[in-house]
Amino acid sequence: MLSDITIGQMFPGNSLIHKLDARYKIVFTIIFMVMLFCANSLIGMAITLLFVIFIYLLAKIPLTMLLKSLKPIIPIVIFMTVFNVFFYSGETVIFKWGIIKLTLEGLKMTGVMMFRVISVISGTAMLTYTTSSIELTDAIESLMSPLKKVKFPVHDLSMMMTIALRFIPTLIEETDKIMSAQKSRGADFESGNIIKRAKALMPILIPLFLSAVTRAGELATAMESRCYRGGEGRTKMKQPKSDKRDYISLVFMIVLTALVISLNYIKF
Amino acid sequence: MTVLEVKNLSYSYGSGTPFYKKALSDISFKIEKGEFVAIIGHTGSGKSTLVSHLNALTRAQSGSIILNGEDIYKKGYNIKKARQTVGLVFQYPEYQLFEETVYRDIAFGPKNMGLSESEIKSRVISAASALEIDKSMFNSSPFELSGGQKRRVAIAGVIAMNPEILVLDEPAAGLDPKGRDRVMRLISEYRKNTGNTVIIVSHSMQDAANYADRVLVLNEGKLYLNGTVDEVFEKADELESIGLSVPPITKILIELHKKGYAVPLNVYTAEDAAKALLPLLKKEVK
Ligand SMILES: Nc1ncnc2c1ncn2[C@@H]1O[C@H](COP(=O)(O)OP(=O)(O)OP(=O)(O)O)[C@@H](O)[C@H]1O
Ligand SMILES: [Mg+2]
Repeated sequence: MLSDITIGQMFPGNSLIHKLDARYKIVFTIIFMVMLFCANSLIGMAITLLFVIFIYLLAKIPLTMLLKSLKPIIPIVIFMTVFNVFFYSGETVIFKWGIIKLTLEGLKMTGVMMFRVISVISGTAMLTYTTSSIELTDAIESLMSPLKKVKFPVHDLSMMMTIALRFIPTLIEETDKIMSAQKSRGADFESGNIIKRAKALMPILIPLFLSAVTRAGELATAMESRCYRGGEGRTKMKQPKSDKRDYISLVFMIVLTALVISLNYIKF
Repeated sequence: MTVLEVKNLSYSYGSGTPFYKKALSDISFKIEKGEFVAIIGHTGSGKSTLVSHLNALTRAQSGSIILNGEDIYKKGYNIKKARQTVGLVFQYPEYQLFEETVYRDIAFGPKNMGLSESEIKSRVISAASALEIDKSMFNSSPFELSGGQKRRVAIAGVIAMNPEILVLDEPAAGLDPKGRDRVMRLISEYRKNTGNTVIIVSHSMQDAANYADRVLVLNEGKLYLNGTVDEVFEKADELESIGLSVPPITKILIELHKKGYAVPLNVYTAEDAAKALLPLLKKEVK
């Protein structure tokens, strides 16, 4: 079911991770990416994975949730694995059959790829699991505020993001509802060739677009009648605040990344 | 003859997540052929969840549903058959309209059933006339219609599939009083003319009392009461304790009864109430 999609959904909680300043969390996510793509040694990767698990435990997010959000990418992972394992041109051949050969390098490469894909998803999912969309867009607005100097529409952009994020669950719910209604009328989305299936989507897409457009109009009217006129002079109820925990976490992240990178240069 | 039997049905949303919510627990009831059943209950009591099980859109975590003697959860059961036998009209069904013309939208269900062109045509025409949709509307876009008209077209789209059991989730919600009465009257006439079973979910005690033979009361996912209209509305205090009420007219008579007047309690319309009260008034005057 569509409601199984958990990416972008927040898990309310009270943990240290939930309490961190959202701006720092965005920075941490970026640092984490750097760490991830720089990790080339076995120990470095192990540390990164352990770090991910540690963060999930700390945030008290059930690992089953993570597995659920990894489910949609399983086909991609399988596809990548097959290609890498059998078509990567390596030296140390373990097994050979026609043009297909299994090499040690291919296996290694696949392992590294899987590690990266899984870590990227679980790491970024952590950000949305522990941060509400409002905090997130406020944080992005605050991080990008220097760009205001060059007349970049930072506020408008962040308002657009807030609205988009806010309506993802609504749209999913609505799609679910329309799909059920059309299924009740005997619509079939699962069988037939590609053209037939694409056609079968019309009974869902048309009502969905229609209601999205109507809703956008209504929302715009509602915002205008509450005197919304862009970011000019607009203040915030919750000012983003950073404190000691954020600084300590920042130092921790930098040290960890430095450690992972330096492990690349150490020969055991 | 029993057409539908629900046995020990339980369902919860979001199992294994922090959003876990038990929506239905251990629900059992039977529906006889040709019956008009109303399901009532407070907001969030699980009515919509329950009806989405009846045509196998949602699969219960435990329990079973026997449709015409066959378990629909049995391996190899053709789900499409369940969807044709049980026609489900959703809450606010006008969202499901999508075709270019009213005619084609009503024809969508029959077309999916693989019927012949002439059969589809006769189904559309009879469904439209059952819902008082004028032929002159057939070629207009469903999006140009008023809310009440859209509602009737959407209901006709399900009726055109000729389901043995018609299930409607709040068919009158959001309509003005006239529109409500019209939709309810048309559904009731449809049942009389076809002899098909009708199940409605409703917030209106008045509608349940006026049209249904039997009432199922849901409370917090459990089947709280199951009985004829008289049996259920007799228990006014119990209904009030779970946030429901009895039709306003019935309430007046119940209060009079408590004050010691000899009035019948199974009265649900103003006309019947007048009949019951007039003799009483005459007595007082004397
Ligand atoms: N998709 C969903 N995900 C999670 N919980 C849900 C979902 N749909 C319904 N629920 C919950 O299940 C319970 C029953 O919901 P349901 O929609 O069946 O109620 P209802 O009796 O139809 O209410 P109403 O009269 O407001 O239509 C509610 O507590 C609701 O919050
Ligand atoms: Mg409902």
